[in-house]
Amino acid sequence: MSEAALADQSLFAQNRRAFLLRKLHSLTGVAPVGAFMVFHLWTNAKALQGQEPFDKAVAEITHTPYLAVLEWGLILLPLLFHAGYGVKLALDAKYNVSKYKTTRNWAFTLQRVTGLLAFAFIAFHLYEYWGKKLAGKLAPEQFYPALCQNMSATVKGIPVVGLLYVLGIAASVFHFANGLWGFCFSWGVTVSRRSQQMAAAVFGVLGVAIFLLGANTAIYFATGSSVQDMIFGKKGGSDARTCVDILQQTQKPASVGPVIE
Amino acid sequence: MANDTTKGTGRLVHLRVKRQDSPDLPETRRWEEFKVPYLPQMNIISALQQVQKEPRTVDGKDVAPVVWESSCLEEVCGACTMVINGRVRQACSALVDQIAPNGEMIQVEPMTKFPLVRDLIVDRERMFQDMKKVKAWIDIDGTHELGPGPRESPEAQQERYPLSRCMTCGCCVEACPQYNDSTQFVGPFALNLVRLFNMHPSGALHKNARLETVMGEGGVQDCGKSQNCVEVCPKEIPLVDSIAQVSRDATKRLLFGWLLK
Repeated sequence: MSEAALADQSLFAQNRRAFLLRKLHSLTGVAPVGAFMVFHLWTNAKALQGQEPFDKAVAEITHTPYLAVLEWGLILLPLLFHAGYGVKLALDAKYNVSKYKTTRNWAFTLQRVTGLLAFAFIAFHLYEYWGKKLAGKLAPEQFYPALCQNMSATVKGIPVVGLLYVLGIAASVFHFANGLWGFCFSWGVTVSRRSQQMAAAVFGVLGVAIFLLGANTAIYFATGSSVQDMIFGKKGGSDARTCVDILQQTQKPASVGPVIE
Repeated sequence: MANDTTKGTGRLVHLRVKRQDSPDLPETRRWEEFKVPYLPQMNIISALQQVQKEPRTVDGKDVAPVVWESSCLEEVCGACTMVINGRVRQACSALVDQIAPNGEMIQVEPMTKFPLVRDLIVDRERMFQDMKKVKAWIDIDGTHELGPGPRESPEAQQERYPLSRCMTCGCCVEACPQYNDSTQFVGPFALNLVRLFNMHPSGALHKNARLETVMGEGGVQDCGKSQNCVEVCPKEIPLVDSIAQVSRDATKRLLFGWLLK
């Protein structure tokens, strides 16, 4: 083999760039970005127990050593790369699901659509909480009441922001679950069609579970009761301040207001 | 029904053909409809031959005959590949009795992923370049006697035979959303050839050189996993298995290749 051909085999050869970027894109989607999303949705679920347990979890994270390094290095930069390169991938494809209506072609199309939706949703979400925290407009202990108020605000009886969060979580989780399936394919973990079908079933179930975990918290913030509250009835006995308490406090002056004049 | 299969019963085949006079005349792009007499066992090629005999549209306008490519007429050469009723396939094996049993209109278009030559003829040169890119051959320079090739087990032969059925027709790349002008993707057929030649006892001598090519620009990483290729392949080649296998080999080479050199 010639010298030039050998030089092409170097890991960082010019013609190897597309391959490495695509692999990095696939890897960052699983970890840290996807793994962080699961961790984040799990932490958020502490909100169901009321403000104090939630604030405690938030405080614990806020006081993590090297927080800024972790935030930028393990979450934001990988996320930015994954999102930026993902937009390029979404624009590169020539969609044809209207002609070839197979499940996998739908998944291919939805993977790119949900990727773009998740990007928009996460940008909005980061601006709303992380951005305002950085700008000093929102202290960590104000997160809980802010979440209760924002997400329960209704337009014509519909909690628009809450609904937006449920949809945003749905898009992100579909993208994650289908992305895990794609990761297993493109890294050569699932080679046979049978193993690919099994992976699809496993990640499908996992995706539904993660979606329920995330959506339940959003539903709680939007309506004041979680799905299990709605099914089994609310359990009393906890002293922690809940969204219902917060909304009652803030609504009192508003309802009294017009009477005073 | 018996009368229907005899000539001169008045049964007509209705074709709607997408036409263009030459690559540099996009303004001549148009749809033309033809009604030609039905013949027993008719396929799209013989329907187009009837158009050629008397190229007159349904509006009674005399036009230049429709041009197309075809050769073997038994679905082994791939020359007559075109988009029929929105789905890519060979015109020779597209039987009128099957696709339009009740005289439905049949829509015929050229493939969209290749430069157009005229009417239904496209230039599939890119596929040839793809094959050259991935070194889809076995190196035998013919300068000296090599003796008989290595022995092969019937099992290995059985596994390799289906992969060798590729006729470079272009169905897989036509249906692939990732094979387009924005990417340099070599396509499912070329990745299948990498697997085929890497499995060949003599071809395996250059296994790594072939893997290197699909770890470059337009390589195996560009597969979007829509799996349309395997759905449309007329030779039922397990294209997805081949891509997954090449992905696994590429991952191994990425992770360990540079360590072992």
